[in-house]
Amino acid sequence: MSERAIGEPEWQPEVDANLTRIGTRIFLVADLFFFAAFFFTFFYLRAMNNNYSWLPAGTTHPTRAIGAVIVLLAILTAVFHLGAIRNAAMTRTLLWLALAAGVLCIGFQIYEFRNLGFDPQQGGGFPSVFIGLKGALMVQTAGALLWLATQISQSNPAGDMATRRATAAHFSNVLFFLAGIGLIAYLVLYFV
Amino acid sequence: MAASVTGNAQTMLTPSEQRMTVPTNIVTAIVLALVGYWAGVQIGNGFAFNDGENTGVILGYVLGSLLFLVGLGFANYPLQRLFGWHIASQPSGDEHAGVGRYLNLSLDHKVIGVQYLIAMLMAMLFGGIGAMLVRTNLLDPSTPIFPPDKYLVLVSMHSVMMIFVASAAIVGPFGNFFVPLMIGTNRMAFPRLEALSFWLVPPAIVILLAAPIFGGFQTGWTGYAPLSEQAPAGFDSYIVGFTLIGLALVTSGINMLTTIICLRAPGMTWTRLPLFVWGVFSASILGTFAAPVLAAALSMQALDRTMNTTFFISSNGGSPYLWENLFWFFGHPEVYIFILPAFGIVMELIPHFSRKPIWGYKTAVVGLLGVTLLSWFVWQHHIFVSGIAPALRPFYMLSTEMISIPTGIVFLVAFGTMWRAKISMAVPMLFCLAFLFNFLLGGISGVFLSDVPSDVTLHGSYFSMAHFHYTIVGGEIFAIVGAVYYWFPKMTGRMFNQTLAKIQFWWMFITFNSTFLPLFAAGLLDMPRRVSTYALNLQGLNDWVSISAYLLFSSMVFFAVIVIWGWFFNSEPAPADPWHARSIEWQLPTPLPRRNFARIPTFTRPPYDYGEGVPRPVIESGAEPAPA
Amino acid sequence: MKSPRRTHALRLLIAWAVLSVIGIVIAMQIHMPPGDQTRQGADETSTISLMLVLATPVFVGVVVFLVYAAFAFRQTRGAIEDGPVSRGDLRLQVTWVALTAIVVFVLAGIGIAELAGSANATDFSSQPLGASGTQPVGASAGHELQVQVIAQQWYFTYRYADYGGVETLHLVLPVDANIVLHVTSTDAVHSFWAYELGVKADANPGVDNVFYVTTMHTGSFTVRCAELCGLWHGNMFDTNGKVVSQDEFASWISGQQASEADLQLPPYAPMYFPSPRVKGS
Repeated sequence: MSERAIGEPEWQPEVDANLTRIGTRIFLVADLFFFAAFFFTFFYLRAMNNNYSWLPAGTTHPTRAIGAVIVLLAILTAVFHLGAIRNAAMTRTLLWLALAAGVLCIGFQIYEFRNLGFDPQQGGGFPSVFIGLKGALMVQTAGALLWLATQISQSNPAGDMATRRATAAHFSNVLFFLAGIGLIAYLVLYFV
Repeated sequence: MAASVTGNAQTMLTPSEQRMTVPTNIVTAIVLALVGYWAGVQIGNGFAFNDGENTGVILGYVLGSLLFLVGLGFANYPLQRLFGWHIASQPSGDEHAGVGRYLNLSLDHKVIGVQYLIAMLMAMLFGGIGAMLVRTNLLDPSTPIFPPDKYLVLVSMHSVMMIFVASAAIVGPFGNFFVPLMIGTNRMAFPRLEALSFWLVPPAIVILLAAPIFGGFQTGWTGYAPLSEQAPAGFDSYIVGFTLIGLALVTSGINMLTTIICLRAPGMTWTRLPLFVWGVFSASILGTFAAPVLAAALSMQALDRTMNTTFFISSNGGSPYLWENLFWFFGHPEVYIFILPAFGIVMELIPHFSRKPIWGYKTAVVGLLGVTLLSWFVWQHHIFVSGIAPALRPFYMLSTEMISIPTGIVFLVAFGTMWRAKISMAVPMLFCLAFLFNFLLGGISGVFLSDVPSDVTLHGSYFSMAHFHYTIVGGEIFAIVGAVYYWFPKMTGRMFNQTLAKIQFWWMFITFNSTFLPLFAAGLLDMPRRVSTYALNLQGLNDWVSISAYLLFSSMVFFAVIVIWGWFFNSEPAPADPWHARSIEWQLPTPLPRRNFARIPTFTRPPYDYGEGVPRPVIESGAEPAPA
Repeated sequence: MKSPRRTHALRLLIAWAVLSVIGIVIAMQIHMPPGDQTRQGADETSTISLMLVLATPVFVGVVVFLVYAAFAFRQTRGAIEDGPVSRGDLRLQVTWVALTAIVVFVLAGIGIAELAGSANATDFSSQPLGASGTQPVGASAGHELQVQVIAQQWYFTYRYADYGGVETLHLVLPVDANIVLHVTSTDAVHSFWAYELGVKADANPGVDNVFYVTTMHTGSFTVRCAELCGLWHGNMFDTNGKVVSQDEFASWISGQQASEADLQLPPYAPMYFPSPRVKGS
C-alpha cells in the first residue's frame, strides 16, 4: 500500500507505515462484515431449515481431514509471513515458504470443491453456504497471495522491502485474519 | 522505491522498464473493457450451468470492468512492483493536460472531486429522465403508454440509478475535493484507492444502463427474492452494478477514514474538525462497514443465478427473509450515508452565512455520531409487516424513533447558530433553509412509518415513497445543489449568475413541494408503490404531481444551464473568497495549485471563528499554479 | 427595558403557540385512514391522528423559527458584519435533548402499548387449522374464523379452513368476529393490504404470516398488493371485499360449499411451497 503523491516532501516511511496500519485495520473490519454476512446466513438458514432442505438427501459434510489441512496451510502462510518480517536474515526464504503454503492451501481447496460428496447443483441450505463461504474465502486468499508475491519480488536487494519493512509487516494481519476466518468456517461448516 | 523518491523520471530506462511505458488512457480503457466483456461472455457461456445467459453476462461485466481499470492504468504500478521492475513513472494526473486530465486516471484529489461531480450530475440526469417517463405513464391510469414490464423496468432503473447518485454524490465530489484542504494536508492516505473509488462508478452506470438490453429487471431497488430469481438477465446489471458501487463506498471509505485519522495538520484536533469533515467521516464509517454486507448478499444472488445454489429459494432450504435481512442491514445505514454528509454541508454552510460561530459544536458532533451508531439497529423497521417475530417489533420501533433525538440536535444547532445572527440570503443559504424545511417534513413522516400500528397502513404505499423522496431529494439533493453553488467558485475558478440561481432556487423549492406533498395524500388514499395503474379517483392528484414533476425536472435542467454557463462561458475569474468565509479552503488561491500547501498550516483556533476580531489566517499555498 | 433577546423569544413563543393551536384544531378535523371497520383499523386511525396532532407543533415551531430568522436576523444589505459570538448553551442543549427524548419515548410507549393491547384484547387462543367451525363464528375465544390468504402472481385466493377449505376470489368476512388471517404465497413476495380493514401482511412463499383482525362494522373493502411482485403488480387488486352480517355470511358460505362440492381442490395445507427452482426467464 505504498502511496506517494507527486513532489511530496512530507513523504516519510513512518507516515506510510502508520497509514498502512490504520488502513489495514479498517479494511479488516470491513472484511469482517463481509464474512459475518455469510456466517449469519449459515445460522439463519440452518435454524429455518425451510422445507427440510438444510441438508437435502444425499448431502454429507465433506471430509474433516481435508478441511483441517486447508486451515493449517492458511495458518502456516500467516506464520511464515510473520517470521519473515521478524527475521531479516531469512526474509526471502520464509516469504517463499509462505507463498508455497498459500498455493497449496488453494490447491487443496480446489481439490475439495471437486470432491464434495454432494452436488451443489441440487440446491439446499448447507451446500449453498458451503460454496459461498469457502468460495469467497478462496478468492480473497488468492488475492492475498498476489500481494505476497509482490513482497517476495520487492525483498530482493534492489527492492524496497528493506526501507519499508514496517509497512510490509501489517500484511501479516491480513493473512492471520483470513486464516482465522478459515478456522471459524471450518468449525462451523464441518462440526455444527 | 527508495530510489524513486529522490530520483527523477529522466533516468535512463532499462529494457524491462521500457516494457511498462505502454501508454494507458481512456481509449485503451474502453477498448479493453469491450474485449473483457466479449471474453467474459465467451467463457461464461462455456460453462453455463442451466441459467441461460446469466453466467456469461455476469462474467462479461466483471471482466469488462476489470480490464477497464487495467486500461486506465490501475495495473501498472502493482505489476511493476510484482515483477520487480524499476518504477519509471506514476500516473499523477500531470501527464494529461487540459480536459484530458478529467478523462483519465488522475491521483490529484481535486481532479477526482471534479470527475465525481460531473459523473454524478450525468447519472442524476439519467435517473431524472427515468422519473419523467414514470410520471408520464402515470398521467392516465386506464391507458398507460408503457406496457407494465417496461414501466417496472423504468421504475427500477430510476431507483437504482438515483441510489447510486445519492450514495456517492457528496462524499465523492465534495469529500474528495475539500476534506484534504479542510484538514490541511497535501495528500490523501491512499490516492490510488481514491481514484479507484471514482473509476468504479462509470462502469457501474454503464452496466446499469445496459440492463434493458437483457430484458431489464422488474424488482425495484430492493431486488427482493424470489422475484429477483425470476428476473431475466437484466438483473445481472443490478448485481454487478450495485457491487461496484459497494466497492466504491468501501474504497472511498477506507481512504477517507485513514486520511481524517492520520493526516490532520498540526493543531487540527478532533474538536476543531469542520462539521463537513465530521459528516463525511460518519458517512464513511457507515459506507465502509455496511457495503461489504451488500457485497456478500449480492454474491449470493449471483451464485443463485449462476451456480444453482438456493440461498433465497424457500423450496430448497433458502429463505426470502434472508435477502430482506441482509439487504436492509446494508440498506438502512445506506440511507444515512446519503443524509449524514448533507447534515455536514448544512451545518458547515449555516455558520458562514450567519456570520456566527457554530452553536453547540460538540453537541452537533454527538448528533452525527449518534445517528451513525443508531442506524445499525433499525433495519427491521423496513420489514415490520413481513412476518418477523412480533416480539422484535417494539425494539425496532423504539430504536427507529430514537433516531429523532440526534436528528433533532441538528435542527437545534442550526437554530442556535441562526439566533440573532447576521444572515445573508445568498443562494447556498437559501438551500440550507430549504433543507431544514424539507427534511423536517421527511423526518416527521418518518415517525409515522416507524410506529408499527400506523406503519401497517402506510408501509409500501405512496406515503413511504413521498417520505423518502422528502429526505433524499428534499434533503440530500437540496444540500448537494447548495454545495455546488457554494463551492463552485473554488472548484471551477469561475462564478455563476447569482440572480438566475435565486430564481432557480425558488423554482426548485416550489415545484419540489408541489410534486411530493400530494403524494402523502395518495399514500393515505391507498395507492401502493410501483404500480403502473391506480384507482380512477386519484387521477387528478396524479396529474398534478406529474406536471409538477416536469417543472421540477426543468428546474434541474435550469440548474445545469447555470452551472455550464458559469463554468465554460463566463470568462471572468472568481475571487478567491466570494462569500467572505473564514474557513481554510477560501484562504487558498483560486484556481488551486497542484500542491495545496507550500507549508503545512498549523491550526490554533476552532473553526467558524466569526465575530471574535481575529485576523484571517494566512495560508501559504503551493508555488506553481496547476495547468489550466 | 426589554433586552432584544427576550423580545425575539417572546414573539416567537406567541406566534408558535397561536399557530400551533390553530394547526392542532385543523389537524383534528382531518379524517385519517383506514377507518373503523375493524378494531385494528380503528387503532391505526387513532395512532395516525395522534401523530398528526403531535407533529403539528413541531412543524409549526420549525417553520415559525425559519421564517422569523430569515427576516429578523438578516444581514444589512451589502454589509459584511459578524454576529454575536455564542458557542453554545449547555442547559438549553440538555433541555432540548430531554424534550425530544420524552416525546420519542412517549410515542414509542403508546405504540408498544397499542401493540400489546391489540394482542391481549384479541386473546386468540391457538386452534389447529382446519378444525370445524361453529356458529356464529368468531363470537368467542377459541372459535375465531380462520382464513387463509394465498397470494400468487397476480391475484389473491382465500380459503376457509373451517369450511372444508372452500376457495373464493373475493374475501367475505362476518361482522363482530375474531378473524385470523394466514397469509402465504406460492411464488414471489406479495403483501396483502386490505385497506379499510387496516391489514397489511407480507405473503412469503413457504411462510404462514398470521394477522389478527376483529370486524366491527359491515361494508366493503379494497384489497391491494403492496409489495412489488412482478409484471401485473399494479393490477393485483380487488374492490369486492365485503364485511357482512353473521346471517348473510352463513348463507353465503354454505352456498360456496354447495357450489364447490364437486370441485377437486388440492388438500388444505398451512403453507405452500412453489415448485422447486422457479427461476430464469
